[in-house]
Amino acid sequence: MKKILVADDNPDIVDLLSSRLRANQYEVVTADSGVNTLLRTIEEKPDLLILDIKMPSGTGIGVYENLKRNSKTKDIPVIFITAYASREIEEQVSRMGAEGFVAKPFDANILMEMIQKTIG
Amino acid sequence: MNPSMTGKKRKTTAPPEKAVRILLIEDNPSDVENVRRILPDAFSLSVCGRLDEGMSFLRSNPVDLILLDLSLPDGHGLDVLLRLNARSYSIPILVLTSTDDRLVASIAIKQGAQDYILKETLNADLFVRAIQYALDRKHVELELETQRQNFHSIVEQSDEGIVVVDAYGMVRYFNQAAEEFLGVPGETLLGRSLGPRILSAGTSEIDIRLKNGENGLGEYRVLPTSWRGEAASLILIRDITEQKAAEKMRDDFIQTVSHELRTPLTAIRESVSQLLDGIPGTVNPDQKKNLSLCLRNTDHLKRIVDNLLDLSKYESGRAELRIARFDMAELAVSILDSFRPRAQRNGIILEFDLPETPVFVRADRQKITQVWMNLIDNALKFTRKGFVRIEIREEKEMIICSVSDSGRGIAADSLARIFEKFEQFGKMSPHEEKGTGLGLTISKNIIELHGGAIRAESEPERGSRFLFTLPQNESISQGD
Repeated sequence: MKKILVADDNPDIVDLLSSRLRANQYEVVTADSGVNTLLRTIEEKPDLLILDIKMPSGTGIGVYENLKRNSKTKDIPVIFITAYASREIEEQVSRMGAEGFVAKPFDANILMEMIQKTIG
Repeated sequence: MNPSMTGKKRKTTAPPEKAVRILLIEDNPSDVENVRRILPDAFSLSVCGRLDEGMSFLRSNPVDLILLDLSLPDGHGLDVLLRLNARSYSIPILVLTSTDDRLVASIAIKQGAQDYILKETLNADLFVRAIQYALDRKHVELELETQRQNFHSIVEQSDEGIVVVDAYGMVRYFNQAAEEFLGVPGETLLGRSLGPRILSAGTSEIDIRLKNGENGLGEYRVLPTSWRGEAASLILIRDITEQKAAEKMRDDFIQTVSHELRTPLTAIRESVSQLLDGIPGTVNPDQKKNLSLCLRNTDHLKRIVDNLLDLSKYESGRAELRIARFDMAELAVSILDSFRPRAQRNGIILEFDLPETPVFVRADRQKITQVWMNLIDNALKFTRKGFVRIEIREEKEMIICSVSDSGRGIAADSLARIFEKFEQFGKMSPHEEKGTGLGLTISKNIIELHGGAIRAESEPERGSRFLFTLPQNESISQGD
């Protein structure tokens, strides 16, 4: 079973995403801040990260850059989700080389498709 | 002219309507007599034989004109004029002179006298005319001086900084506000260069000094003007510190509100969507119907939030265009194709009429896509049978795009307001989703930002047509 780390500071979103992912046969671990995300990623070695951009103690963008600098985590695919969606942020994320970008509120089917394509 | 005068015999010398009060300062009795004799009745004459007498008369009596002899017992020549002029600036002075001091008389004019009259040639016609001219000239002079002072005080009191720089880059004029904004004392400005500041026409922003000593932001506008008949630059500096701060607050506020709205919407949408997908357990068909309704409305709310955020960017002038060259015909066809499944479901024919060769345009592809989508979406929404057709034509460095339909059309009074916010008209086809009422407003903003125009035509019961034009101008060079 593939393992996905869901990082978001909103517990409702984390709960909902977790149940959706479990229903789709993924194992789920969670984090609620930038620092926490980094620690959990190293501990859990997930197959994929769903990363919120605005979080306390380190934004999603900062977390991403950190992960990419670390040889142990640099190959973990990342899908960004944000309620601050704009053309600028979407472009920034795609320039950085992230696997995906989803604006909140999202259509879970599209998100699941994206995950499926990335890690199977 | 006073009509009562026309019966009298004085033809060329009709005096002004009101009695003109003249003060004659003259010590020679025969000259006084001469003046009295030829002066028409409409002038009321007072006579003083000495200058100091004349001065004290002026203090307590209103006088319209002074007739002045330049040689008086207590003063002589230009001295007299200077003393008198200093006291009674606004009263015109006419100098009476004999042939031998003609030169002095002409200097007197330079000193502020309105005219001089040779005593030898004095006659009624000439005299009245000279008085009239003197009064008129003085009137014009005073009017000009008043205007000059008015303009001066307006310009000086203006909140906007005003600087005039000549063709050599030297400051020729500045007002108080400019002095404050630039933070340089005036005496170091005049006749000097304005430093490395831009002098070519256009608008920019500069740092300014505010009244309270703090730094602020100024709008710096350069316009061509002329100064003493030569080309010069007019620089206008306006304090936009607060305006900018307010705009930023507004933008931040809208960003925050959108975020705060989208986050709970995400939770609501996903909860409902999971119920519909049966993740927490199966739901019966009636429950499913309610949940679908809930989901549709959540999506509608999401579109409103997105559109409001979009619109606020256009309205605050912060929307940026990513200009690139692309084939408009190719884009239009691909967008139209994306609507085919929906058109087929509703039994609507999608048609296009396009030039055979590519129609290259420099524009923001993503934003133009948004406009096409919006117009085609609207056309499908309000058309129950028939067609939706797109057309592209090239005309005089312009491309004209249109989306027409065979729908119900739009009533004339609605047509006038169709691009306004939250205006929604007409009865939609069944199973079509409600719009946000912002699509056309956003489309209008997008097209106008490109330097184009958008408009709507309609014939009720026959159909509607939305047209937009874009300049086919290769010189738009933003981004790329």
